[in-house]
Amino acid sequence: MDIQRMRDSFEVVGANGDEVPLFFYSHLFLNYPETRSLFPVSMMTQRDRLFAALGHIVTNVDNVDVLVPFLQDLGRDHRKFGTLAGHYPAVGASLLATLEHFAGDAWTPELAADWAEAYGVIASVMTEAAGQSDDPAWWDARVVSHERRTLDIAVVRLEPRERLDFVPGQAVAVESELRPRLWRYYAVANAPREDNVLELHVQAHDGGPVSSALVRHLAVGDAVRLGPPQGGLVLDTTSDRDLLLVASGTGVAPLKAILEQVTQDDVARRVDFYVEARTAADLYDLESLQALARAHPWVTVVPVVSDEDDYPGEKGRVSDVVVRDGPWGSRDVFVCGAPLMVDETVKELIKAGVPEHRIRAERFAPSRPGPSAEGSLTS
Amino acid sequence: MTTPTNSVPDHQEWARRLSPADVHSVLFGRSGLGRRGYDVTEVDVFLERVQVELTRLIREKGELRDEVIRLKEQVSSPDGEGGGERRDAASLQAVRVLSAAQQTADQYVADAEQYSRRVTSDARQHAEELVEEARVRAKAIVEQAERLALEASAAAPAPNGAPALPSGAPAAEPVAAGTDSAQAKQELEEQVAYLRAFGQVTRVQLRAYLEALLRDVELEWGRAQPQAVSALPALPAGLNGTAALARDPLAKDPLANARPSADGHAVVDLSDQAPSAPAGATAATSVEDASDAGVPEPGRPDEARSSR
Repeated sequence: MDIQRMRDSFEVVGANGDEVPLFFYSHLFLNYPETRSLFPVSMMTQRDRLFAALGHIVTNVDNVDVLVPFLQDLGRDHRKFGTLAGHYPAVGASLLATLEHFAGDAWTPELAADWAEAYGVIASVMTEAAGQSDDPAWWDARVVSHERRTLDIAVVRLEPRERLDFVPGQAVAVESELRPRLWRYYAVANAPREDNVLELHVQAHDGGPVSSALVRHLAVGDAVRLGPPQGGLVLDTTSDRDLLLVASGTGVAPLKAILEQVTQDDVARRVDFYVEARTAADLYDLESLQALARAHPWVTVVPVVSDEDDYPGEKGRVSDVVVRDGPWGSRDVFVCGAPLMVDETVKELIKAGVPEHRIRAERFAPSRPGPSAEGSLTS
Repeated sequence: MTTPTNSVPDHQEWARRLSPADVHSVLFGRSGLGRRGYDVTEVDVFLERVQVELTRLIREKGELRDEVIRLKEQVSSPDGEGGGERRDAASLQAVRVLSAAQQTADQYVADAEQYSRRVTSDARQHAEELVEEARVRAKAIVEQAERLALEASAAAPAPNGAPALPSGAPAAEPVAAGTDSAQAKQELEEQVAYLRAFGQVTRVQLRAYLEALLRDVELEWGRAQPQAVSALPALPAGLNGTAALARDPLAKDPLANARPSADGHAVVDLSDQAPSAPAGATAATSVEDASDAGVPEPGRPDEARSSR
């Protein structure tokens, strides 16, 4: 396999931009019409994703340590879309046809053979990983409660039909019948429970098709599908350090799960939980956090309001309040919420002497990954 | 805006052309407070146009590519012997047709999202403005009520022969003696409690009085002189003057009994405040008139006059 030649050809093909995935999917749907129903109506973001994944594969094609886990994740993750082993050859045929179409004169039988071989390896790693998983491809779940806490935020409780195990802090992908084939990740806001119920905090983004539907249209009894839990914003089980949690907006969700987990542990760890919102009314889950704080004296919850002058409590930016209340040098720190808040808080905490490796942060962007003005993906 | 091809390698491992999806979902950072920036809506509208244009160009480019392939094949096999190639061309055309249909669908979805984004963000802004307005108004009403209570408790004791204000002698005496500060404190507290209760009672009476007065004005005089109702009634002189006094049948001109307050504002009842009335102005004048109305006021602080 001539890797350099493959990379060169991919670069030539990639120079045609959006045309390439457009051709690929049209070719796929024409020749294998049964694959169309696996995809959403609008393919605009889907095309970008294909390219991002292909680019990642081609970049790391000679780096097995990176590529294999990536492909395994990809294969496992694709089960929730309804992807079957039988779909892989179809995708391979359309991929080769697409490369041939755009490579022009550079396309040779040798190059075609290289690509076919490479795709064969990719497909076998993905299908193998998918086949090895004991979990269901997806979890069917039912909405058991739906509370609109603010104009834009709903707290939704779901009951999966089968047991869904996760680690507090992780997120699950959600698909609703209201917006078929569109999956979005939401952090679970509770520690695993006996009754298997998951609480999600959903913020409707303006124009966001999934988030608005989940906040405004989802009702008790509706069916949703959940993907396997993902994400690394989880407690270090080897550490018994006290905790500092900082959240804004629905960034509360994963940290509340972590807080619940800590309160269920035998060993008491001090927890300081700072929650930022624009106005007091936007502190949509303060009551349940304060209930936890009342039940566990070593848990402190500090609400901070950034945009309401006559709020009686802490005002301003949460990063300022947190740093002022420090030092936090001995704590494990979790920061989750709006990108600006997360960046600012992490920066200030490091400046205040918190070792960087003890800070875990997650930036909540709108659920659809969009490129920033510099072109880098934001989530 | 730079193209993704210039991006940092960590985030974008492979050079990638700007796609319509990029334009559709691009996120710009907010400029700092007080710094100048482009109008958000204008930028959004322009981005929509760029996205539509980019989509069109991609489609056209694809069609041209097909055309080139077709022409090349014609040139290389002028006899038209290649039946297989014709079929290829046909399937290429099918791919192109499906692509165009997909792009149209994408565009409709993007338009719908764009529309919903604009409508919701407008609606939210509107809702926030309403809430803020209501909050400000509620705050003003509460402040005004508190001021009225304070004023009433400060101004009212004299006619009832109650002890003078805390600035008066009874409060100062025990402190000056200094023999039993606990006792002094207790006395002070009792006095404060008394004044507070008195203030409340006065406030209730005042309100009842004003309400009765307004009702009378509307019911009785309004019937005789409808045009008088449109002008808000002013308070008659003397707090002891009850509503019955205002009903004096001898009074030919009902407004002769009333006199405008010093600064020309009319008095309105607090509880009846029309939403459109500027809250501040009415607060100041009603307080003022209450104390004006025959109640001695030892050194009433002047700031009550200028409420807002």
